[in-house]
Amino acid sequence: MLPVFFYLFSIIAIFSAIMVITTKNPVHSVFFLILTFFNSTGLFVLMGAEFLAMLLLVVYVGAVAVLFLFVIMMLNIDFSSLRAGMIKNAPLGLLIGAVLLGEIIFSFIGMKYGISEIPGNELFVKLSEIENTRALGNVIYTDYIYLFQCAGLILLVAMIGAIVLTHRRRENVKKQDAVKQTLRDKSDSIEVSKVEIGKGV
Amino acid sequence: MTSLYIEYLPIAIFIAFAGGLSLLFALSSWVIGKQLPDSEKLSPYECGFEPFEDARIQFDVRFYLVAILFIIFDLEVAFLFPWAVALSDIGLFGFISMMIFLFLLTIGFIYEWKKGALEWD
Amino acid sequence: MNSVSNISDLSIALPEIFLSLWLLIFIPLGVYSGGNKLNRQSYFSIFSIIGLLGTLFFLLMGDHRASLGFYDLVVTDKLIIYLKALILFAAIIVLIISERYRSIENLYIFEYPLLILFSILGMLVMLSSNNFITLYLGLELQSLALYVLAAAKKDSLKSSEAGLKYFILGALASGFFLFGVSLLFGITGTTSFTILSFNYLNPNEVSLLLIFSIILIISSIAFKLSIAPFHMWTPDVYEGAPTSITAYFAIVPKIAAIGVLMRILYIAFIDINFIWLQLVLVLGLLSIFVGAFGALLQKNIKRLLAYSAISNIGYIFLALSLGNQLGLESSLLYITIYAISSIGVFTFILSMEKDNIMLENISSYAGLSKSNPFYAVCLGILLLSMAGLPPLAGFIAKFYVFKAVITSGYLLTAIIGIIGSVISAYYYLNIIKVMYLDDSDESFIVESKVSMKIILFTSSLFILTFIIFADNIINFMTYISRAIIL
Repeated sequence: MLPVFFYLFSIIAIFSAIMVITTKNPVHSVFFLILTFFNSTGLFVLMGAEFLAMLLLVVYVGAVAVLFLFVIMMLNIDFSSLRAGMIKNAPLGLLIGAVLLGEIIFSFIGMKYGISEIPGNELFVKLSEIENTRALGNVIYTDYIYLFQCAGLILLVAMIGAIVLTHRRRENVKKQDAVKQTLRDKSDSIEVSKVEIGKGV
Repeated sequence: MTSLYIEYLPIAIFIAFAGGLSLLFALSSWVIGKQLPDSEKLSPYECGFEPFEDARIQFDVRFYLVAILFIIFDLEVAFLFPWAVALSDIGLFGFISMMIFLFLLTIGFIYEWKKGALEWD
Repeated sequence: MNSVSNISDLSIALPEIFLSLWLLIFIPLGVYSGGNKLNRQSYFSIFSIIGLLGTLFFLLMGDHRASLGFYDLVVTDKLIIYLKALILFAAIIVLIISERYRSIENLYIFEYPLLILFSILGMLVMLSSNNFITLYLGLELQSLALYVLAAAKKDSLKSSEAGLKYFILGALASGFFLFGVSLLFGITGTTSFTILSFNYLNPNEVSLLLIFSIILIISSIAFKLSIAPFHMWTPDVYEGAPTSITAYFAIVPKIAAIGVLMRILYIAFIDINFIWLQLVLVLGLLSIFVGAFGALLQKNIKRLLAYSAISNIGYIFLALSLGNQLGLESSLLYITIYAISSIGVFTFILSMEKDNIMLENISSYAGLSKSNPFYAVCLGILLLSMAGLPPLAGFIAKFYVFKAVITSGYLLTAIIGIIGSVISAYYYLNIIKVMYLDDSDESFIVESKVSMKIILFTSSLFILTFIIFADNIINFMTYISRAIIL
């Protein structure tokens, strides 16, 4: 039964990946991308990598695909002119794709099959005894604390970088400042002045 | 390993059922309904002008900033899942480790807040 | 499970920890002190320079013996400490010389020194990595900060273009790096340099897949170093980025990437060096020639220096391709002298300003020998050194590279390299010709800060008098390079 699911997920994934780059409407491309992510999730589950599968849904479908939609809506691109370049660049793209495909094929030729042949096989043994979210949790925060904190710093840089590049303080915006309002005092807002009769202020 | 797949069986059945049902509806309307294709049916108006420009309007760049900040915190949350599962095993050290990580991102959050990146105007 | 890291682990990463803590103080300080007001900006620069000095202090005061920590993810030894110190030193100097430029170009945002500190942190992590995962995280930390810095001038189209180009190509290179590392993990089951160096890579059993993975890893590092044929982005990014950032790009990240490459080639892949020796050699020679010919027709000094950087890193690749102690020593000497002379040249470029406009065209330096003899003499010394004129430092660096190449038995390679070096001498001498022989219509007096004059003078003096203490420095390079060759 499992091979059926494997082929189902992989065929849909490949089909929707092709659709991502061939559909005319970029919004449809993003939806096909989401379909690709869902099928990759299925493949990860078949491999037993549950945590990675769910992460793919949370991060890629939940956030990255939405971001793609935003970017498409944000950019004012003439999509027909964008398509025109595609035929021109297609040979180069195909060449690079062919090289990468060749590498993957070579990697299958060089590979020996079976879990016992894989050098890191002790990892697989551990995975069958313990569910993999817990297996990850056991090492990320303790053994790999250095890497974990580095990842935190990378997220921090990403945050700062995004704000530096896209945030602009707009001029002439009138804002309500609650602190300023409550701190406002009688002495600095009201001025009592004697006005002489017959003269203005 | 096989128990893993058994756990996912209801989801597989659910997806198959949902997919089959929607396919059934789409197909039955196609089979039962009368098909009289006409190019006018696809045009925006039966009478009047063709649209002058694309109906899409350009989004503000601020949506993008909000989305990208969301991704970053989404990733932060992704780190919390295995931590929560394994907290009983990793003890105080694992707890402190996560607190340092959260502190780093809290600093980032303070930065965002004070820079006004979370405000709309 | 052993969950408690011990104290010696922390002491290995003390400089990194100190710098991270400094950054965590910096961010709230920056936002709470009113952000980007003009008069506060020099305080932020001073604050970050103090942070770097503190990091340098913890680095030099720490244990200098070779040791591993954090479950063998992190390593330290004399070579790493030397390269880290060089990075911190160069970064401090670059921060000092960019002050004036930032005031002219209105780059006064406190995120500028902040991101520089972040990228330095990334480089420190990269240099002390003993594992491809640590290396990758350091690389990304460094690159993310650099992408933003390249696009720091938000109102300049060229700066945004530079940032975008750097980002897209950099992300592609990172992708190749990860692909290579995952193939390597698939073959060997480990990503640790020391474990790889022991017995995991058998020279008699090299699969095609292993060669692919090594090529992918070396290419991605070559991209970060702008080695030909991965150099296409360099001139555009160097030209588009703010000049002070260009100075930073040209000096500091190069040291880190070279250090990492040494560790990958000479520790992780040393047993199978027959795979990479030829590759690195070809990349080196190609870069020397691409750099030499590419610079010939450049009008803009930043583009010219981009090509100059390409060819200079090419010599380092040439030295590294020997795979022995001599190659390591001479590449260390070369990167040191390259860093110091680049500091000098960029101090000069950052001083060249007339009526609040930076002069970036080579033709605008005409007649400089008459109007500003001090600057002309200093730049003259630096350029003659880069052109390889004896007895200046640049000559000695090149001499040691070629000597190492010849003693290792590659006479033909040395001859080809020397031809490349002679070609590149042309454009360095051309700038000197413009300064000394061409007349200009309007002369101008360069007013620059005293600190910049001191830096320019000191670097030129160092280059000029290097031959006096060359022996000591070369002995020192031999001493520290023994950390890596067992």
